[in-house]
Amino acid sequence: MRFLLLLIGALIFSVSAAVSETNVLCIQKFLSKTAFNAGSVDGRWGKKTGTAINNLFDQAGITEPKTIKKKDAAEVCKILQGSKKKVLLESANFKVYPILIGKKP
Amino acid sequence: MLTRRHFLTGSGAGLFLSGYPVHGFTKEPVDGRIVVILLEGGMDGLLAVPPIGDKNLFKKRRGLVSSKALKLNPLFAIHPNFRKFSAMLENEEASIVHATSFPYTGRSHFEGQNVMQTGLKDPFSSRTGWLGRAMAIAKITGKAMSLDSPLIMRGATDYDNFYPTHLKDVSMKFNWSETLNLIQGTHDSDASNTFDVLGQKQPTSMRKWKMAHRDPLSLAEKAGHSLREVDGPRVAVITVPHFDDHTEIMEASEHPEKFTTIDNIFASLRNKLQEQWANTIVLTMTEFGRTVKENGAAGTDHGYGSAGLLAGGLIKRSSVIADWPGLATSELYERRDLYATIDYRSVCAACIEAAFGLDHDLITEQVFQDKNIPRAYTHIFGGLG
Repeated sequence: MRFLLLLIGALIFSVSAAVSETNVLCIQKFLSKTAFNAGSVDGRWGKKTGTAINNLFDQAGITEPKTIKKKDAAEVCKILQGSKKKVLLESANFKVYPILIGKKP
Repeated sequence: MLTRRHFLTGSGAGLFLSGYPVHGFTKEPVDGRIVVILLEGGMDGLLAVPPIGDKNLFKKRRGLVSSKALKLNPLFAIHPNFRKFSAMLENEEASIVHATSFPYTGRSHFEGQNVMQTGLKDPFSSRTGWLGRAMAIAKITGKAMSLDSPLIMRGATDYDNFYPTHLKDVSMKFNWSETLNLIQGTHDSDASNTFDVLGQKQPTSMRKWKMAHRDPLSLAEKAGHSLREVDGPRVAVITVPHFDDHTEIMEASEHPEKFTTIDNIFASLRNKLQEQWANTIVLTMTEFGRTVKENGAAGTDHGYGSAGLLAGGLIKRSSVIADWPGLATSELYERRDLYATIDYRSVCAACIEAAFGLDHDLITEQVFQDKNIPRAYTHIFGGLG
């Protein structure tokens, strides 16, 4: 019985990991077509992926989730694949660096 | 520490993808104006807008970074001679596009200038210019501030030229009485008497007459006057030559002086256009950038990527737009030039869209004959960032 529970637990963990990897891949594939470099498209959530997707959402004016983390990958992937996909891709063609002269920190 | 995210939150960056048009043949008619400043010879974009946040900048061209450059944000600064343009940046009416070029990598002035003006990939493949074709579609009038018709404007159905004679100061050479006597000598009776009357009525203002000058700044002032007229032209092209500084590029008389000229042109246009400045976009363009490393003569040679400066009331938020490629040797084009990651035709297309109200797809297809040009309208005019 204990073995069976362990097996089910391992199965759930591996399915969950696979889903998570798929969502990260979804984000990385999207980023690879933009000016926001996420590094390798390998399904692993690293610093580059996190920085790139946060910067893209900043530029597009999407403020939720506030700071995107790995746990948000499914939600973010849904946004990237949704009705705003085309305009998001277009907005991510280039990076926009705000002018800070005369602005208060 | 101020992060980009905090800054954006504080500056009210909640404009989610604003400015997208309804796709179709054209949008609502726009009464916009375009002024193109052609920088002939290849402007050094890294000298004009140094990427101070890229550590390789100082490794590769330490002697070519002005110590008085004004920091715009953590990555970019601007040469101090762009003082008035910097004020426009601060006032949210100017932007910069960096690491950009027309799709030409051959480093020939003749070919590069041809591609810049035709807007087509192959040099010498058209007798018309991208601006002229856009004007023809939108039925826009224009004015070339040159003696000949610049290629960029050819193809338009309604435009004229303005270029003054070379007389700099009439009062120095023009003797009213002597001239009238000479002309009078060729006339008889009544006509001759007319010159007697004219001789007595010599206008005092005559002594102060000055013919318009040919220099780019004077031409810009004239263009600004014309563009603000209700039924006047809506497009003007001004040329600033001699950017090909292979030696002593930092000397005051070389690139820095030309930066001042560009700066004054922007300011003059803003001043002369008055209320029409709100409907205007002014953009610079150059045929290519210059090498990242300085050559043995303290200058730079023909390169690839450069920078474009834009100003006008049609801009709602200032920014530097770039997909920065980096300055490490492995990141350079042919290990020597700044990579151009933005096709400058995207910028031109966005300006046409903003000023003439034409649809992006129509512009790319009929003006630039290339459907793959990315849309930059939202980045430059839509308040992104």
